[in-house]
Amino acid sequence: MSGAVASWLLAAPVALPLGAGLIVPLLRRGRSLAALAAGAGVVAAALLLLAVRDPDGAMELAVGGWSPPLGIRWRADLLAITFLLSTAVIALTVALFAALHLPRAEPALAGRLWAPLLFLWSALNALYLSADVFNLYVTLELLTLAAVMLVTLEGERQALDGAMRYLLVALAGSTVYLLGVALLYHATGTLDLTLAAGAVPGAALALMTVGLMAKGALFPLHGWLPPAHAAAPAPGSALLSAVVVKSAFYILLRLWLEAAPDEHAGRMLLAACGTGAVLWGSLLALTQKRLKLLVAYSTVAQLGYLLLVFPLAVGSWSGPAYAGAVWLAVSHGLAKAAMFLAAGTVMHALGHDRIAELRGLAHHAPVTMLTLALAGVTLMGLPPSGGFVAKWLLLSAAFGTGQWFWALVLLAGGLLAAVYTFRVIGAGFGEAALARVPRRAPQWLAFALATAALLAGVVAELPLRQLQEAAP
Amino acid sequence: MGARAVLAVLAIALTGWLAVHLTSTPVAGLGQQVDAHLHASGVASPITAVLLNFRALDTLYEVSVLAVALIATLSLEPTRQPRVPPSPGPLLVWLVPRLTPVMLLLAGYLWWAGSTRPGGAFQAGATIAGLLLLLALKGPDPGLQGRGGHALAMAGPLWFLLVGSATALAGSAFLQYPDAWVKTLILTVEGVLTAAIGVTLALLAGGGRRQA
Amino acid sequence: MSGAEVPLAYALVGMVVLVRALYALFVRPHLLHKLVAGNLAASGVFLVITYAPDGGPPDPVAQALVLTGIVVSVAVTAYGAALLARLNETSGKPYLEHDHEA
Repeated sequence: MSGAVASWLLAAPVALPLGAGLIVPLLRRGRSLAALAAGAGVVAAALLLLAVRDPDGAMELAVGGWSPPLGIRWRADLLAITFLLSTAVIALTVALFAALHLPRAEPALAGRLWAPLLFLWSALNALYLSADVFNLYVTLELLTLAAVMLVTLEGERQALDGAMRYLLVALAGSTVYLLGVALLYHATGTLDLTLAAGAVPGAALALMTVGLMAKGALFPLHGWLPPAHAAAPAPGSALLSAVVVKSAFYILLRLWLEAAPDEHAGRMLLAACGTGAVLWGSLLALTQKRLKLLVAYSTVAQLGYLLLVFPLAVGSWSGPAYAGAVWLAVSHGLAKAAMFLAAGTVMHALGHDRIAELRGLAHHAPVTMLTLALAGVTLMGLPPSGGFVAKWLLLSAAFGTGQWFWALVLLAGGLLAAVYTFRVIGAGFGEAALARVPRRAPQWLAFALATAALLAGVVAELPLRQLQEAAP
Repeated sequence: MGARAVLAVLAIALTGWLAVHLTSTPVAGLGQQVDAHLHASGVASPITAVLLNFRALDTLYEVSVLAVALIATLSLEPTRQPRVPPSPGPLLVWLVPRLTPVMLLLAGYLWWAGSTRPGGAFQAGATIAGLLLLLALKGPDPGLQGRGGHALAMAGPLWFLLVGSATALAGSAFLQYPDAWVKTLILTVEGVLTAAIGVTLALLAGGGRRQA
Repeated sequence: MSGAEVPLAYALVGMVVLVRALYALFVRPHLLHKLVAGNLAASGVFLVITYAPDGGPPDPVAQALVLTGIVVSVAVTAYGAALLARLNETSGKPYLEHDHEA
């Protein structure tokens, strides 16, 4: 693989959305087209990266021609490519939904969605590729600003309030993370994760982890997420819950499994936080009166599962645990995006999202109902969904490593997810008229995402095998 | 009062811990590496070399952060009409026209000097922003709140991105300047950034009003 | 002035500022206080970044990191202030609501 191909192939997912994001605010018309074109380019680049992937190594690029420790390195290994591709698919589908749904449902903010969406996407891609802790800080900042802007688009007091809370928590999180970066730099003389591997001071790791937990809404620093994700317009919420919060988990994976693989003490603590997230998030989801808040609390819960990977990725079980966690992240992303998009349709069709008054939905918007149900299947972890396959791997790792108590967490979470999913589905039956008839095309897009989450279990064999082999 | 005491103890403890931590594992930074490669960076100032060459990706993202902050600020619609600023006092009326060429010159010097000593796009851009704010205070409005101003603000990161992408398409790494052009390219990137940062900071400080 | 002692003092001051500012960010109810506290906390970290143990020439990478950090901090604070102003307009007061719909 020649250096030139590697360079623009790796740069495209970062440069295309960034360029589009910078141009879009200057356009009066054609914003959605520009965004969709850039998005299609990113999907193509991600697919190409997958196709030309070298199974034994990773495609790497010294950005600017300078290798670490002087410069910044991009690396596209299987983990990065998995996240690049799944984010690309989700983001493009969400963008299509927004292009079709918003002009009719929320015309006032339709044009203002594109810039933050594109910047957010570029920041995510740069985050996935980057192996430099300070570069990760800057990408996290760009991601946060774009995400906060998405939350504010509706303009109401609740949206602004949720956005401000998000901004402040993220600000505190970045600052703590940055202190960790400072300590890492002083202790190792480099900012590159691979060069610093094995020499990361525990204090730096702890600080970076705390900062990332705040940004990723990982229990107990999750409080900002439900108001923020519920207040954003539907495509925004979809992206926020499906991919933005997982970026913190991605970095935690890199830190704990690759840069500091010998730190075992903290891993149990992380999984304990994950347990708290699953139980607390699920319980609160049960009590929500609004659909979007229910889905947001469900995100808090599902993120908890991901933290279980840390104590489980040991010894011969590191492969299955790793593959399970990554696949869970992918499946949840697809399902959660589908759920929020469906919630957007619900909001448009009924004028509200109160769960008690969803009657008529099943009759008049069956595609949306089905989307919610299918997405719920993945969240519950029922076969044949991607959620099931992922949980299965994590369960095997739990029993295989003798840490069977984590299995209880996985099962409990699945049961609770079933309860709140059925609550929503059940509420949709009955006869009532809709305030507005929703467009069909956006509903099918959400349905496609939910189906993809479902099929993620069916097509998982090859990817999972490769992920297991690639596990650190 | 209890909380304050706890906080004080915490601060002292953390500070003491940091002191021990930092002094017990002294490791040299990357200064030597920078010096070793400075000759190939196109500039003589080590900091500018790091910002615009060795770690240019960080800078690209940082100016994008500025751009997004502006876009996000502009998208917050005000409900009231923007307040008309009070008429400028005699000091402003006398001072600003005289300061304008000085500040422009200063900004130009800072931009140019960035290649050999502390300076560069950010410092020059901040000066421009100060000038723009003074002009806005004195009146009449420099008129940067419309399309032109926004285009200028986006132009900085856009040009930077274009340069980086062009190098990638031409066969080198992303953001890898070709040897013959490195000094010129860095200067142009910094130049456009100066204008962009100036406009962006001025618009951000002015509260940013929605374009017409 | 001995080489290594002065930079260490700055780093320690930075730590104190960071801790105090983070405390203020969480505890102070007024949003403007929170924002300024966030900004100050970042400045505290910048002091820690620029710590140079051997008392020799300053580290250009550390300084570049801080320059980048300052710009990011300015951008976030500026946007935060605009958001605060808008929130104040919309809700009538510069505080976060502590009860949201259950």
